[in-house]
Amino acid sequence: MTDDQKREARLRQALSALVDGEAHELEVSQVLAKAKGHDEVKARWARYQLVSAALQARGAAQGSAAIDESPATEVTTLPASAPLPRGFGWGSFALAASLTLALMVVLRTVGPGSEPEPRLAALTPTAAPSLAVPLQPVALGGERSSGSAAVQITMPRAWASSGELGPGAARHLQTLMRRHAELNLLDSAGSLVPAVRLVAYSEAP
Amino acid sequence: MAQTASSLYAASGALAGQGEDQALLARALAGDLQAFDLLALKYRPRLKQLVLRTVRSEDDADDVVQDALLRAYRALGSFRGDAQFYTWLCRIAINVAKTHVTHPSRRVMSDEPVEEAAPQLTQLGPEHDLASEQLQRVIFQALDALPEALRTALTLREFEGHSYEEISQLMDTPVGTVRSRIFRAREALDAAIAPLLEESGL
Repeated sequence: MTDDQKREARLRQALSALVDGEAHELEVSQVLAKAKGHDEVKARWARYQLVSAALQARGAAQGSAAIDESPATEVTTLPASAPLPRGFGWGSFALAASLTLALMVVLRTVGPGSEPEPRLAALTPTAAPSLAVPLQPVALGGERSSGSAAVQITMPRAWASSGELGPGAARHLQTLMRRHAELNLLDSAGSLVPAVRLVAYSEAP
Repeated sequence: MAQTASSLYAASGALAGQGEDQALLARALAGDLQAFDLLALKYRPRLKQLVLRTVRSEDDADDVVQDALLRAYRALGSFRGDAQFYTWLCRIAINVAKTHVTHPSRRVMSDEPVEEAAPQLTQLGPEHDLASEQLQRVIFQALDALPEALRTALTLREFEGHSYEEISQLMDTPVGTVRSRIFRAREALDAAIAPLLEESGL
């Protein structure tokens, strides 16, 4: 292999690492410098993204299938002692969700000219991830439904029992949340759920 | 009905990791057009899929996405990083799509000189209109044919979303080896789809 070929191979490897967000600063500079005026670099980048999308689509489909096949359980509270995966940010999500739910309750209950009811005090958002708030049913699949009932989050029994979410499951949840955010954006005029809440979930440390 | 590659991007859903974009985003924010162009290349197919819910024709969708990306480039300074970059792009694209549908007279700048509008962004080729079923079949055949070490490294990355560091721990291998394996796996898959892309005119 000639020096030029070695350089080319290193550049392609840097491009692959950049797809994964794992390229070093110097490599990013080299790739960007090379991309300027070299359509082959951009074409390769686009093809790498295409391959990545194909693989991730299959991964997401497998995640969905695994969730569909898993017996669902109804969760009203989360065990406080359950270990959470590092970086998943469930606590942040729960806090954001409880804030959002509280906001929805206020918007639904306190209409123009009506007095706030004392029982609303019980809905003051707290850091504790209590999901047993009387409100609309919420499905993690992103579908909305009408009517009043206890908040339900259905998830595979294995998750509920262990309290742990593997990277694949967390990734799938992020996918669902992102789609939900996109749908909210599409239907922003009619949606009370702020997309930013759901986005914040996926960014939580 | 055959899915398009755009829908394949939409189905993947997980491409928009803020972490994966950080390096390019930082440089794009500093004014590096190439960095923004790579981000645009990455997200264009999914943006197209998104706006196709609002506009009905592929041509209109292409126009809307191109316009949205140009607007995003101009407005990049206002991106504060408090949302995912892709989500921010989505908002712009949806607004442009709505304007496109409700106020046809305000449709963007087909008449504007490129220099005045923004630097020209790279358009994706016809590979993104390729039937994704065929594409996926070829990709997964190639994936199955990979040596196990390469296949494992790539699937841990793409299916499970593990970082190189995590994969190195899972496979008990140096990070450099993980990186090399993922690269070689991608090269093999890229080589497998190349004839397909050539057939479709690339």
